[in-house]
Amino acid sequence: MAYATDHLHEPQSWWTKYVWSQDHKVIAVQYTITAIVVGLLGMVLSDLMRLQLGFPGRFAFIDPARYYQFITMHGMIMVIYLLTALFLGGFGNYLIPLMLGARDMVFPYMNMLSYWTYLLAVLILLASFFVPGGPTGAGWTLYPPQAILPGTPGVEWGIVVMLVSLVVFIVATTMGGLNYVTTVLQARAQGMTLMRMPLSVWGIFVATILALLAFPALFVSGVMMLFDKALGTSFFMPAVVSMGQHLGHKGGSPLLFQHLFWFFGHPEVYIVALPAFGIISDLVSVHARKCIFGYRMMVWAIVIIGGLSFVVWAHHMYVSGMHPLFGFFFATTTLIIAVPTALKVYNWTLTLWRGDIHLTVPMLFAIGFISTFVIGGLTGLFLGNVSVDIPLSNTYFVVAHFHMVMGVSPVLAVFGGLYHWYPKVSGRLYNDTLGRLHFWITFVGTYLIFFPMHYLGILGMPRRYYAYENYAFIPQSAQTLNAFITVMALIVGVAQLLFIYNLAWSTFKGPRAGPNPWRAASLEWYTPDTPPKHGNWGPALPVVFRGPYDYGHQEGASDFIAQNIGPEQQEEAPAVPAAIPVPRGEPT
Amino acid sequence: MSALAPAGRASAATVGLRVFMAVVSTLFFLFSIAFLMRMAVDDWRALPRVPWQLWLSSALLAGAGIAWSAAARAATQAALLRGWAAGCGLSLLFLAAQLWAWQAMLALNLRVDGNPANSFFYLITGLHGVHVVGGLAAAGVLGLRLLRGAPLARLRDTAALCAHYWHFLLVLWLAMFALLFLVTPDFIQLCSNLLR
Repeated sequence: MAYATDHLHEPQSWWTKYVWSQDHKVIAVQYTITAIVVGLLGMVLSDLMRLQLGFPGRFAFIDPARYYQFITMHGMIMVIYLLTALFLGGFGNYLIPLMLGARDMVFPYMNMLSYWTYLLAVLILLASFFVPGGPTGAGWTLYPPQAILPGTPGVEWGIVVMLVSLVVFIVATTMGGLNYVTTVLQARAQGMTLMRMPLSVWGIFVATILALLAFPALFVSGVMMLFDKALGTSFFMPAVVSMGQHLGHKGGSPLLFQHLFWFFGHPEVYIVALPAFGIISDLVSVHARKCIFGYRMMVWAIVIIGGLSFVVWAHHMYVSGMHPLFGFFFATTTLIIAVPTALKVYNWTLTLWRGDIHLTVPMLFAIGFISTFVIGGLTGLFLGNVSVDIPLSNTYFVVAHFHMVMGVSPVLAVFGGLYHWYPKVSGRLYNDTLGRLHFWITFVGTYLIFFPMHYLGILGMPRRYYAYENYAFIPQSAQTLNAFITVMALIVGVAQLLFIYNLAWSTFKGPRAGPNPWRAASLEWYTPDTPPKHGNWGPALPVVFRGPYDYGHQEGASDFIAQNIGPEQQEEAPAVPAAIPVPRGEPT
Repeated sequence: MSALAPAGRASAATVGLRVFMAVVSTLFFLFSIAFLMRMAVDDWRALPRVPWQLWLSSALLAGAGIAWSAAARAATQAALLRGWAAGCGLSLLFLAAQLWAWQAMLALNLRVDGNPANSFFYLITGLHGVHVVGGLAAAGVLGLRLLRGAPLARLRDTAALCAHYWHFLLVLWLAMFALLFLVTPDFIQLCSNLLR
């Protein structure tokens, strides 16, 4: 495709290059750094919760109200403001144009607005720590009526600030999402058919469609709850006697909120999971030097999982009560999702089978992801069944399940992806030893945090409680286990500083990475400059001749063929230079 | 907007607009579902009558759509400017008529914190109005390009996008209009009797 070079909008000043930038790469870094900063805050909040659970009463400042505020803010930050923003805004922005051979997103100005609107949403959210009464403590699901009734922490201002922040976030996500979908549909390089797109792009693409269709449900429920809180309507609020006083509400349906919330909430799981699936597929293929097993199956699995994610939402509401036939329907659809999901796990495993596995830092995180995802997925099969879910619901078994499947697993994918593409983003190599140390502490540590929670849940330990004294059915040993979990959570928390330090230090002091340190075949590694300059590709756009996973063709020093190598070039010369810089510490 | 985008830019803008309209349709579809689910509770009282201002506002929005279509087919910049002014002016009048309808509802003591049917009326008409305002912001960009003397073909492309969006806003408004005043518990009962 031809581009008018006189309209390239090359940034002219430091401000337009790094702050008010319309370049997708800069916006990706802005999204990533903001999400990581707010994610660190979410992690600190979880450590504060754990301090109360592990050592109850030792920390006087963690009173019940603060405990619930920490829970709520931790959940919301991690799911929405960290993972959604990082996968779509961070990885989506960086990878889509580079992997597809485009110069930028198709609407760069709107892309810039998307980031600044996201930042505004984050700032509004953080402002809730400073409003009278503090942030809401309603739990991340914000269920009415309790979310807006006196007695819930943050009912004065916190809940309003949270809802406004969510509405602003949805506006940001919509602006970004329009860009990602349109760029994938309209701006692919010549030869880049949909079935030649890397699975990372497929995952982000389908997740973006889910976000565009699911976030409106959160918008609807958020706006209607704002009306109930601020204007006295009764969309969700039934007639309530609160603290001896009849409130003005009547007839509202809390169940309606739950349906709307989970119509968003369940696809949200896959908004986070699908990009992770795609990233892991790329990492496994590149670092095992093998074509991804069953590429087409992997694509269709992503699409089918995305479609099914819209018809399973009520499995979050089994304990809210529903007609048995609905329970049967939602249990069935929930269990059916296991089929394409298991297919992906099999395909990753089969890609690894007899692969030339390089246990690089990204590969360690990818294998770690497969492990934690399988564990979290298996417990999902337990909870998908109504009769098993009801006794386990509201226990720590559920906490363990969703943290393994949509907490630890996506975070491992994020780390794997960041370590994998960091050399392209910064042009530098990170310290391999620190990366490995970060992996092992995080991987083993998170297992030690969340695996025992399954046991606590089966013991019947309820979630969301501030303190567990005087419950005869909870043995003393549970408290010992809780103390252990807390210590592990603190260790894992501190270990994340290794990651921050490593990437920050390496950005300035790390050795030069070269254009393609992993010897990867996909297009983003073939930009004329590393890091890629504005416009990505210099005067000529790349032309694509094959899929992104053409590994295992030993030709001299090269064992792969890049996506932009045509049949004629293939005959003339090896696909890549013979001498390839290998990151320090990589097994050879 | 930057011209970093490919040569088929108008096409990308059209696709982007279609995706956006799908998102907005989903939003209002979900409001409709919420409307129907909330209607199932006994306290629901259907809105008593259609404020006549809403018929006027419907005609104004239809007129705005026609004006945008004319702008998209304009042979000269002056004709396009007339279409642009008519499109924007009629849209502003539409918003004014909607506010007038709000006033008429309030005069009947149908307040936002009253029956949920009233609450939905203000919520849905308000959000639809916000989308009209968003369209006017985009039309403002077209106005700036007109002032700067951009090429006619490019202006017509943008006006065509406006026409596309305003037609969508009209269809959306008519659907919401019908939902708010036609879909009542009696209507649901009638439909279920017919289906038996």
